[in-house]
Amino acid sequence: MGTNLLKDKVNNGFIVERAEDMNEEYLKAIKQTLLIVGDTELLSVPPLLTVYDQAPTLNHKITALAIMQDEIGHAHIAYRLLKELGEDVDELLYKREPNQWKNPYAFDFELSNWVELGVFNAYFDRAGYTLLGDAFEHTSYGPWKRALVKVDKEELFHLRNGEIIMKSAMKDPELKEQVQKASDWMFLMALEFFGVADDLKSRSAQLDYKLKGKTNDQLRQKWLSTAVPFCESIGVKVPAHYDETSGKYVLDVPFPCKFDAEKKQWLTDQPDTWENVIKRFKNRGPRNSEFVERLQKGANELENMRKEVS
Amino acid sequence: MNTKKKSLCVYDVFTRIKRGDDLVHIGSVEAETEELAKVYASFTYDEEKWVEMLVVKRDQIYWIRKPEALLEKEEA
Repeated sequence: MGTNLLKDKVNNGFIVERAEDMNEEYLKAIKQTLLIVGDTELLSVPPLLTVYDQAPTLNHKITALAIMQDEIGHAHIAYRLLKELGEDVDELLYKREPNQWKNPYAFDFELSNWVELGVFNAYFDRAGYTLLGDAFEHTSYGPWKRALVKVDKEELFHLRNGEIIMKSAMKDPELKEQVQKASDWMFLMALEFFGVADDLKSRSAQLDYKLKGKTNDQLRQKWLSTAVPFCESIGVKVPAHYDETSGKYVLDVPFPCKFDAEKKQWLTDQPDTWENVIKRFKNRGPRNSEFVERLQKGANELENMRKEVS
Repeated sequence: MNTKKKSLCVYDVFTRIKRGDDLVHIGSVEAETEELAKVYASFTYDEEKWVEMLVVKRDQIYWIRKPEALLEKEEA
């Protein structure tokens, strides 16, 4: 069967270039993956916009805008690839219900202050960098691998920008508190980007067809291995540490656990199941509709005006 | 719905980072005109200070060979 031939091939280094190289399963998996990636890139912009006018200097503002432009560029790349695979991207962008978007739950929140934008870049863009860096290195889909050259470069710049904002904020007693507060909700949020624990879901089409190389838990470890030392170096307290005996990063709080969306607070005394977490993701966060509608507004208004005159 | 869409074309984007480098296909844009394609490409693919950058309308590219399809077409 085609299924096994393709699996064997990609696991021996075969690079998929054309739709004619794919079987149904592969096509479905790459489309799903690219949709998550495109939605994630695009919907990172509305939360960033909620605080961008609080930029402390013009330079900070220019940098923030450049980052948002990059994210839209990355989204464009993912959606272009989807279109080449036969998806109706206009339909996806402008007709889809907000709760059908595949961006991380973490992006359904407005930010509280400029410092949070820094932590957003340092944590969430790091998650993006970790996930897409792995895809860049391992993916069997040629067009995506090539597109990720740009993405990889730019996400690194975003996370460095976040680190710079965090680092400088830590020198100011008031802002230092803001960093800690932002980190307290964003740290575990970033860990959730990597999805269900391996013991619940060890294999997936994404791995079988080498759309990515590492498992969810391996990627989570990778994120921790750079985020935790960075936070420790600047004095931000995080609920994770390196365990010498296992040679791994371990969490000091239950993960996953329940989250109070209104207060943006983890209820670390209430451990949760991944099943419930997925439910929470699907129910979406507080700003989901508003953010998606903002993206769709212009297109819908234009369409209505066209209808009026025709 | 959108009447302009009829003339929307795909343009492939090629760049050279510095003199002597290979000209590389880095992506594509969709645009109504060549001028817009140039604008979209230069704003979207601004990750390097390219020494050379160009767009080619996809329907102006003529393939001599394509990668051989791995799978037999199961259905038309």
